[in-house]
Amino acid sequence: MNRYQKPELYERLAMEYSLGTLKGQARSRFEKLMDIHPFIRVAVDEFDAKFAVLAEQVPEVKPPESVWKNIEANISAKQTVVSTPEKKPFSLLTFFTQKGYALAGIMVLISALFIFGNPEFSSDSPVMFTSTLVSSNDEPMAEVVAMKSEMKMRIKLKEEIAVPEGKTLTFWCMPKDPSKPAMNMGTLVSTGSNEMELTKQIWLGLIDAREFVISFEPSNANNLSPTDNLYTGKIEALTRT
Amino acid sequence: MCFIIIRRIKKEKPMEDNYNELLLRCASQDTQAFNELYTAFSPRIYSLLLRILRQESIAEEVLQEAFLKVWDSAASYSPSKGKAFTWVATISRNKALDKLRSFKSRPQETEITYEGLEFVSEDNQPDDNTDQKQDIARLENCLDGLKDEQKECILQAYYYGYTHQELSVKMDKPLGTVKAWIRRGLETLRDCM
Repeated sequence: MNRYQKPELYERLAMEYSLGTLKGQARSRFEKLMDIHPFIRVAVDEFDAKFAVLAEQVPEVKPPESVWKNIEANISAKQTVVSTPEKKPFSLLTFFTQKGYALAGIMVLISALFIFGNPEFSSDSPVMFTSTLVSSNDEPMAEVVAMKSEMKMRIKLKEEIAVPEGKTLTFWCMPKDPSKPAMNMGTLVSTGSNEMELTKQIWLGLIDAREFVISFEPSNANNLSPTDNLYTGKIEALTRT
Repeated sequence: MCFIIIRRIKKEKPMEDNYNELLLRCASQDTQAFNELYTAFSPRIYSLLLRILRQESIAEEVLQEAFLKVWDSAASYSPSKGKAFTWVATISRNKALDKLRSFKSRPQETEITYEGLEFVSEDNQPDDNTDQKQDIARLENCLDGLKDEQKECILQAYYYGYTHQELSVKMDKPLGTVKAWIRRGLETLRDCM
């Protein structure tokens, strides 16, 4: 297990980041980790929200009118640029005789070849994952939908789950390759809907996963796989074709 | 490995709903909504930036940058990410901290002095938001559970953007001591908040 997956470490760093005492390279490194490990971002968001109560307590000081005027002017300028693009007759010869555009054209072509040659963007790549998680007696208990268009996943529990004291409701992603470790995707609330944000890495991880599991895990444990399965569900991938 | 952000979809309070709605409208380029949001939030955000940055001109510059970022990235906001104020305050405070860290030395202190939580006057207490009052009471209760020096360091760091090193100098204590105070204070807060 990566050291940053240990809650006691990443939660402490997340608090220091939210407080603002992480600085320099440590701060930059932590920001990179937030992009790689979404659970670290979650921890930071939660501490940001908790500390924001402090920000709400400062006495109000009205900023000068000039600040809003500058903001307004800036927005207005952007909107003008967006709404009235300059129209010029297009000349292929002129386009390719200008070095910068020629180079840009080549770069676009290379990028297009790279993107459309990438299996992730092929027409048969999944655009949505769904799963119905069932209990041990095959009762449907939770619905999971992950949308590529929104890069979000929603888990809807059919009914409230009584979580034993000292345990947490943990959500897992089980890879197709049984030799690979299970993926602990975080803790669920015991009722209603949970929403997750997906990154590209996570989406690629879902492509290689076979089922979701919801389990009870000891609150302070760092288990590498589910120990007390509650619900399981096969992952169904939907493609455009 | 595949890790996913998990967040409860919260029930929002009426006032928060209003601000969340304004922020959502900003995503569709609604300048009137943005103006209302700015009018509602900027006095507290500016006040916070003044504390961190110490100079009005720099605080104004960062306030402007922060709200332009809010406008540009409003589409990425969702009420499930938390309250609109939290989102805006976090963007603004992070911009202020980045600006502060870009200076070779901290701007000269102004008249603004450290006030602890005493500046939470009756006027600042929300009249109609019981949940917000509870949030404040919970945080105050947690802060009261800290040792004085831990609380002092944490509040100074939050409101004034002090680093460990700066706190060490300001409080005339060894760097290791200040780091330990903050670490233990945060551990206590984490278990309490």
